[in-house]
Amino acid sequence: MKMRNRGKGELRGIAGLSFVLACASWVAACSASGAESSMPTALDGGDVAGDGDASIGTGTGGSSDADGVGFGGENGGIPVLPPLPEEVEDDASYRAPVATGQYLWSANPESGRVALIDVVNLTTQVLPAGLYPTYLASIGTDSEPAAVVLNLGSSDATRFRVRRGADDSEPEVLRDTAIVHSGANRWSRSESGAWAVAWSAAEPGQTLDPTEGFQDITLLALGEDEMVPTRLTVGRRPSKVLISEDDERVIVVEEEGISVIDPTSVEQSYWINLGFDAERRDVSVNQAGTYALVRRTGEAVVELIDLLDPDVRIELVFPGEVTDLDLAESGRALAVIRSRSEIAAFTLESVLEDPTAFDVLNIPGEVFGSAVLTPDGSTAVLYTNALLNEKVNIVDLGEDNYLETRSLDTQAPVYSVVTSPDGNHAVILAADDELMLGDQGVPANAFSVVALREERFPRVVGTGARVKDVALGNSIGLVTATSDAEGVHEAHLISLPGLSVRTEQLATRPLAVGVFADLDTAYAAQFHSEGRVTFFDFEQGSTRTLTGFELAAGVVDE
Amino acid sequence: MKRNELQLPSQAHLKNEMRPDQKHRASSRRLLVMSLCLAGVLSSLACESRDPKWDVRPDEAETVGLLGSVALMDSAMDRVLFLTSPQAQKLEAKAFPVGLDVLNVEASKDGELLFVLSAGVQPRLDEGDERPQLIVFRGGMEPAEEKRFQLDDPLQKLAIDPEGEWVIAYQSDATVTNANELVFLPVPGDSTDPIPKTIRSFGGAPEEIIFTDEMTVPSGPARRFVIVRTDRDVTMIDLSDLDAEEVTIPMPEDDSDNAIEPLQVVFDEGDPEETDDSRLAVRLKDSSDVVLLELGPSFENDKDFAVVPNIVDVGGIPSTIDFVRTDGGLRLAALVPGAERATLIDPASTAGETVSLSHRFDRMTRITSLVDDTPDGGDVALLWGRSTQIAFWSLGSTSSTPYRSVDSTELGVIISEVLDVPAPNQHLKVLLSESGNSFFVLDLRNRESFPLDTRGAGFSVQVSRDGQRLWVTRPASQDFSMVDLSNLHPAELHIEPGVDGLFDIERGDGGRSAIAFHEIEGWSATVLDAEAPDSVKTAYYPALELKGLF
Repeated sequence: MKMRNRGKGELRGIAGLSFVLACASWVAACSASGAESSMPTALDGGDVAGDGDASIGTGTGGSSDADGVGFGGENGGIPVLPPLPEEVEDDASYRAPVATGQYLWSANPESGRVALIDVVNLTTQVLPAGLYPTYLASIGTDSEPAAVVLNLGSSDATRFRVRRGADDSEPEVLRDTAIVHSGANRWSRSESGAWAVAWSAAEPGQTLDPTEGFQDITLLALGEDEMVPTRLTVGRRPSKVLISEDDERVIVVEEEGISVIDPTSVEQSYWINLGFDAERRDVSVNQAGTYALVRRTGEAVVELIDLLDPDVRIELVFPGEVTDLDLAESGRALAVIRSRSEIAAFTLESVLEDPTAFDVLNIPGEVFGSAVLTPDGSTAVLYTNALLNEKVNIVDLGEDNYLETRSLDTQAPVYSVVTSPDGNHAVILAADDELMLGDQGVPANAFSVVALREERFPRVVGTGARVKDVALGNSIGLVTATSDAEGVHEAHLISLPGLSVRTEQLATRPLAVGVFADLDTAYAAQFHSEGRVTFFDFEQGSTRTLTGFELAAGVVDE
Repeated sequence: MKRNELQLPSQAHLKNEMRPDQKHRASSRRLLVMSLCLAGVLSSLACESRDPKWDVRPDEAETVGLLGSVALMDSAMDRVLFLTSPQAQKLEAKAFPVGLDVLNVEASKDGELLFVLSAGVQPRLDEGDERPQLIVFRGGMEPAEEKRFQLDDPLQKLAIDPEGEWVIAYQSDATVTNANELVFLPVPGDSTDPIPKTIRSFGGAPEEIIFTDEMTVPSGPARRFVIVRTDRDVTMIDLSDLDAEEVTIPMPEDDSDNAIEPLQVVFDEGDPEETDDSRLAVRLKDSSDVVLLELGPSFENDKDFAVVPNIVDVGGIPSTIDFVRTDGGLRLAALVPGAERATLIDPASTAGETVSLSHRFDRMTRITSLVDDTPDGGDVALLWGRSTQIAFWSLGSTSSTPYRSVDSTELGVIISEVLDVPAPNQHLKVLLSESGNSFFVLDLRNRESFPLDTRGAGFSVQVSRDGQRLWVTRPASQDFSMVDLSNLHPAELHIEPGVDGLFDIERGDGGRSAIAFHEIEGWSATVLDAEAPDSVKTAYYPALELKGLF
């Protein structure tokens, strides 16, 4: 699941405003020429468009739609857009509760405790952690739930492991602590649960001293008896830390390069220099941790680096500037060439053999600069949030209908897209059309639920406040909307595949959401000094809010 | 006749003879009393130095109305006088010694018992100096001392169990006070051993003590609890096992990290068939949050239950809360007067439902059992408060009322208090106005309200324990009224001197007497037939402070 939105503000804002003005001028010109224009006719803007006039490898011409999105010229027969601001991605919430199995973990920095909530019976245990426990990560499995929290005040990490008895007795929670470097505020963990990495990054809005490099990371071996920390130094300002599928490499993407570390023998580490263009670089690493794809803003070339042999670097040359690059867990990748309304689909295996072995799809008349691939890589959702555009394009990347597309009108400018784990559905958040003209894109009071693999209408939902968070499982989903000023806090419960949406009011501002897919239950953590989580049981149709579970820790009965 | 029991001579005949000259009646009565006293004084002087008790001036009387008697605390003489009425216009007095330095006198809710808490001799310097004690008296037509508890410390406050099983004495003004020590005193049985218990404290001290009804718990038999409300937490004490550790529940903290003060605690057993749905709810000061406390199962083997807190937001600062039954099940009802609405919270899910109210209502009381048209599975509540309206709030649907309807009525005055009326007129409520110029009798069956005006302000209204009449009096006034609740007919009454307290008690012959207490130049009382009061059929009993001294 991938979520994208706006974030790099000022320059984009100016560019966005310039672009809108340019588009307006251009649309006026188009309107003057009307249907007799040599340019393709405007799209009708209906709810569901059929399969587009997609073509592989070549385009059929530009178009102008009813919302004023137009094309600025041609390049080799392909209409090209005027310059657009960059597509942007969202920052994840690192302070949100995390779920493991049937448990929800929630940290309270103020009290120094972590609440463990059993979602099945909603019993709560409040567990002591360190000083200011803040950043939680799930490190366990459904059968052996566990979580680890970074205690900001004591610069250590506390691990909690749930050991359930055979009867209904309260589960035992084992606890151990390991020292980590000061200022750690991010977690990465291996799929196997053997390793975790505590690292540091700037908080949203934080102004950094030029000397602040966040170059310390702590590698934690998650042994049965204890956590064994190893302090490491990496390149400046890491933005991404991954542990390879086989647990043999820790890959740290940094401002100027990539560190590849052997967790069992840190002396075997090496560093890949990517240069000093971090602000225009986007690095994707495959799940196996064997290859990295490096995209640079304004460039048509994407670099493929073999992380096992850094000397092997392959340049993938696409038809135009790549505005987004998405890499699915399956190894399927997609490059978006917005200026040509094209995507290039490929797999790592194919381009490793032949760097030109990608399929280019042109979707005439459509504007998209971002792509979200479903986890299996068999469907892509194309959209743009660089301008006001209500359309999304769904591209089939499966074998049967490879590169077939269809267009959907979501009735509001698109802000971001979230896909379900099975790739069958997506939630499309609307962008505020007024604020999109400024420098800070924000979600609007609407979202859509769409089926990605069957031709259905989008379910458009208006909300009472701006949409805040989305959590999407295969059969359920939850979207929250909130406005403190208006006192509106909503939870929109999505049932799939029926696309039905039920709205419930929340007492206070939602902070984070999630789903327990196996339990048909979603949750919304909300602002409250004593802790508040609302659980939505989709099967029972019931809602239950737990507030003040911190109080439980204060109850004295012995 | 027992030593302390006296048949008081009535002065009814004198009174009637003197009626033509009523202006001089009171002074004549005083002259007679003074003559008698003078004669007594002279005879005493002639024989030997008199007992100092004759020189004691009565303090301001503290009167307590009981079921079949009126208790008259004579602190100056360290005794209590019980006034009973064996027959119409007859009055008897029985004196009982009480402890030295009485600190508190309270009656049980049903008027059966009187509790007298005294400090004794403080400081105690001799072995023989009296200890602090609590004496329990039976307050019926045959008053008697029931039992006496010796205490270690001079405690000042009492919490009386409405079920009559316990009384708790607490808080004193000794040199060093343990404000969190509660002394449990078992009322029934022979035991006179106090059971002290110091509750856990995080800096607070008891502000209110509440006895719950029997509540089921997940493990073990149902039991009653004592709830102690402090300014920062709530403590539950298991009345079935006072040796068990109490449960202390802290309240949520405000932005300054101070615990928010709890203001009100209500409780509900839930479904009697279920053992894990007993709950408490706590209203907080200046907070829209209400704390729900569920008595759920404990994971610890030696505990019968565990308190599971939850907090619900009722959408505004509530003025009162209560558990109510609705056709959707049990709900916590909260009146939010600032928003002119009520909120119903499902305690199981904490889901809330808002009910708009047409006016600002601050208070409510459940009247379900008192109305004829009861909704299926739902309560009916009477709402009143800072508006000139009252309302019936139906929490279920009936043939005549829609779902959760609020039916309001304009009264023209702000209601400050609602008095219950005992059976057989329990379907009536007495609504007291803030101004005191008028009051209303509300018939819940017909939803009719009858205004009754008083001549000026300052009148007080009390309901007789037999539920048949109201007594409307004003301190020191010679005029007062009885309102027959069967027909709301007010009977104008006049006696002299002015009435300083009026008590409607059971009479020995099965009737009822009204005893008007006077506190002018000593203590006296006028006895009327409560069921048929008549200003010309009264009996006056003077010098009550002298009774029992002979």
